[in-house]
Amino acid sequence: MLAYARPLARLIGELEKLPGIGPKSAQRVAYHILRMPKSAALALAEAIAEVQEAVRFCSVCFNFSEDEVCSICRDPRRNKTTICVVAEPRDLIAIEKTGEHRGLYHVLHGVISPQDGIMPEQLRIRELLQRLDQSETAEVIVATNPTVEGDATALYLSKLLKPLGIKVTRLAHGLPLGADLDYADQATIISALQWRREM
Amino acid sequence: MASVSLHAIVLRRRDLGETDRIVTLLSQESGKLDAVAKGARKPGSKSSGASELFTLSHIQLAEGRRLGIVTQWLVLDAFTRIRAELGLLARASYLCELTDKLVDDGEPCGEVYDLLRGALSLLEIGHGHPDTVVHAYELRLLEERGYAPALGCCVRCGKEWKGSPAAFSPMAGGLLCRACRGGVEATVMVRPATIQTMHTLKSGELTELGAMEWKPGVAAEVEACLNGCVRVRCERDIRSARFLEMVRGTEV
Repeated sequence: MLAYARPLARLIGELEKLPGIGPKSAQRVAYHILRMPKSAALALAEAIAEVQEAVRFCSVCFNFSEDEVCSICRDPRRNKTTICVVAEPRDLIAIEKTGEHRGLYHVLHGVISPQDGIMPEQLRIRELLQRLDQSETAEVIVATNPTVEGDATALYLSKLLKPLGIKVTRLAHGLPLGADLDYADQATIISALQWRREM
Repeated sequence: MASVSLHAIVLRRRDLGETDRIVTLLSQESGKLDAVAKGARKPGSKSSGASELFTLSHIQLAEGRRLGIVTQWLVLDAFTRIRAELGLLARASYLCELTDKLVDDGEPCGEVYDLLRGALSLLEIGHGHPDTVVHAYELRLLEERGYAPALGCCVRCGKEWKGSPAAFSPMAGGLLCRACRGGVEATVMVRPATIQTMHTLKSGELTELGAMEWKPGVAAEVEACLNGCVRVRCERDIRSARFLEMVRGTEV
């Protein structure tokens, strides 16, 4: 006999499909939703439906956007000669929150991963090349994670873009601010030494 | 809680939960094993850099409920030059994936560990053409696993190879003489220099292979023979091989 009422079991099943949500968490969230005021639960359901309906990719940078072209790409105050290439939309948000980068972005939607069979053609690299062909970009900042996959993607992009006469840079690797050298792992210290700069 | 000390190379890793990773390690002491790197995806975690692919570390492994848990990492070599060159990165990825596919969990394989460590070190220091290291590793790994292709005689009749052009069949497991090659599918016609090169790659001192010179056309034949052998023995595609092929195509 089913321990849950059928609609509750369905909700738990759907919640379990979300990242980081196991059976226990799914059960807890489902019971919470059940106890919420009906209006709040419906607002949540509407928000989920709306995000699916109304959000699409920006036709220029491939970030998520409500419009054909996102607000960053439309902004005339942005520096159009610098493009920061990120792997995922959440990386764009992280950089944008700093307020340091005033140029444009390009979202690849993934990184090259040889062992997982993710090849360059599965990313938005072709679209980046088309974009660079039609713009006066002087610098591309590759902001992929300092992982083997992030390195592979950055190296591949550098190999593609340098012959076009575009300056290709990459985010620095090394110690995080406030870190204690004594507690840093050796791989990070080696990287910090290699990416050191003159003062 | 029991704890063991291992020297290990990271062959593969995948995410676990919100912040952890499962790493597939090739260790000198206990062969291939999976272990959990707790918090490896947290910023500033001690194990985030150490649990990256190819990294060679001295680790402490504590017993877990299902998988062991890495409690300490001492990085011995992060192979930073490999990670800074696309061609080397593609080759090292391939070597690690090939090892992962050909070695079973828990079986003792100190020799494979030494072989892989040696191959990664040679790629790191830029010893000769990187494909020399890759092909030497493929042949030696196949030999260590008991899948070495027959290069001295016909794999069917045992007739000794006397230096003439021959057919190589990955499916049959080596060279085929003129009389035996009939009806065997997917053979590669190879010149004597190719067979001689494969002999050298298999038996020559690994550190001396850097000076080896590749005669025109030989590299493509060696690659075709060994790709075939690897595909037959792994019984599935090596995903990194596709990427490596693409990268080779962009190299001058």
